[in-house]
Amino acid sequence: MSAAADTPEERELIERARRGDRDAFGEIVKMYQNRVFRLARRMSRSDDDAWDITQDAFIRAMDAMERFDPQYRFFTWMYRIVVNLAINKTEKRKRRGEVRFVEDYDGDGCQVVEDRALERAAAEELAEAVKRAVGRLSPPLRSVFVLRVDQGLSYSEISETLDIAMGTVMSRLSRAREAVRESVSGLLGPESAREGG
Amino acid sequence: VDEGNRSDCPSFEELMRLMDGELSGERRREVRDHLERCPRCRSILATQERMEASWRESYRPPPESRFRRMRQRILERNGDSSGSRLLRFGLPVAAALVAALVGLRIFMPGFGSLLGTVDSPSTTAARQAEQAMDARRRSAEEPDRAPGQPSDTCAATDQTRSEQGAAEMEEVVPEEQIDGAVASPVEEAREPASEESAEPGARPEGSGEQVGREDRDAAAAGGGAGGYGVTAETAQPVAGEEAAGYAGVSGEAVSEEEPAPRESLSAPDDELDLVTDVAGLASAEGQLQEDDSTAVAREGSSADGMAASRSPAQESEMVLELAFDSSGTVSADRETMLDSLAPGWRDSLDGLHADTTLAMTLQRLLELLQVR
Repeated sequence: MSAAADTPEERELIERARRGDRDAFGEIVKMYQNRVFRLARRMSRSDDDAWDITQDAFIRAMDAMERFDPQYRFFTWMYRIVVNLAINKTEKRKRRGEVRFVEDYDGDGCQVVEDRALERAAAEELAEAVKRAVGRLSPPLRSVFVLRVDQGLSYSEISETLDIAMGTVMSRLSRAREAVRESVSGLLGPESAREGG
Repeated sequence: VDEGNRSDCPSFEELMRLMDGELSGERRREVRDHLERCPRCRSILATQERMEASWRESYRPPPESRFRRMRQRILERNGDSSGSRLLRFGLPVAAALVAALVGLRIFMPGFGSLLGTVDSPSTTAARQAEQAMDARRRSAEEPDRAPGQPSDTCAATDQTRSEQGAAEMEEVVPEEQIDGAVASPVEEAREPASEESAEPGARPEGSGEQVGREDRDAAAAGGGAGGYGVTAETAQPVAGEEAAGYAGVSGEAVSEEEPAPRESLSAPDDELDLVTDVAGLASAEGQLQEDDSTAVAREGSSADGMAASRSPAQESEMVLELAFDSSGTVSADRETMLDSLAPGWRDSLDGLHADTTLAMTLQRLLELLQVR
């Protein structure tokens, strides 16, 4: 799944929505709801949280439409709202002790988990393990991972969405992947073998 | 480049860049050539692709009906989404809650301070909730953590965290900066890390308010990109996610047990109608007292006939009872009501009261909901 650049139709809707046309904004919601919900779901721990984030994100976008500068891409703006809301919600849960996650992954890129279990595991088993591993990532790493791996954004688009430098995107993504790989390997079984080199 | 006896292997990051189609030029050709003769790197790449694909393809979208209800709620709103909406619309919400007393169990006053005197197992839970909310309110009122506070450098954020404690950090992304206002990111693609050198302020900025991003001093960065020569990183759009604040692997993640699905934003239409009706009562003429009377009149038809003769003064001393089940959720009708009137109510109440009943005055409940 990949978020394409705004089409002319989208731009027209956005322009109408900026002028206060609610029907136009409704069309925008229709257009983006699946992508936004999916992003919210991947960033959060439950469907409930994802629905809260999705609704809140659209409401905030609607309220701020008038100030949106159409020279920029709408989806990156929308995604940023979603990511920020998800991060806030995660942080609140963290403060309540409801969730904990790997604050950062200190892998240096020189040790990559190689595990036969990664090759042999069934797709469903892998998917579940990755889901749990992603849930352990800190929000900064998770957001980059989700935007790339699930949403299919390019590094440049991730950079725009999160407003971080390309180098930051690359380093975070690499660390996130290493962390997920290690986590998944541990979840799949005892065959983990972290090899140097 | 990896160390040890695999010194000619590309780094994991380079392999990932190749997989993502983000490696270009001569280096791309070199890595591809390497892959042809290195089974280890091919295996790493293949397993990574498989892992990611399995996760990506495991997603199951929700039914369109849920989106439809969500759209309805969004478009029917009055256009305010900030966290302080409860404060600004306090009167209508208060009136709506009073009206929504229909169906809530209501006790007659006469206990003095309700939370302190109601003889119920919920008393302790209510007090704990109050203490928690008071703590949040106090932290929210801390001038040092005003929403306008810039999204700090990693180091600054880390310092802030150590000084204030993570529990006191009210918002990671300042509330008014969530939507980034006009600050959509710039269109132009940025240069690779090796060329950016992370000079503070070097990148073009979007106009208007940025969502918590400022170019930062290189010394504040902590997550360099290894072989890409990145000497510094710009700050995350949210404060404090990068660098020292996240240094090291700490603890294990808790199991991701998902609660039973709730219809928090997609309650059945009949429930929505009920809430809409209640909200309509609340906003009509903006007369709280009038709405109270309406609510009381409605309530009079319920089993608790005592309510019919209450005065507004007595209303303010009524004790509401919200029962939380073992998973910390309230009943569906209460959820629907609270979702409609105060979408952020969970942040104030939810999760605090498993297997308890929270009893408090309407006034106190409103205060709790306003904490957010």
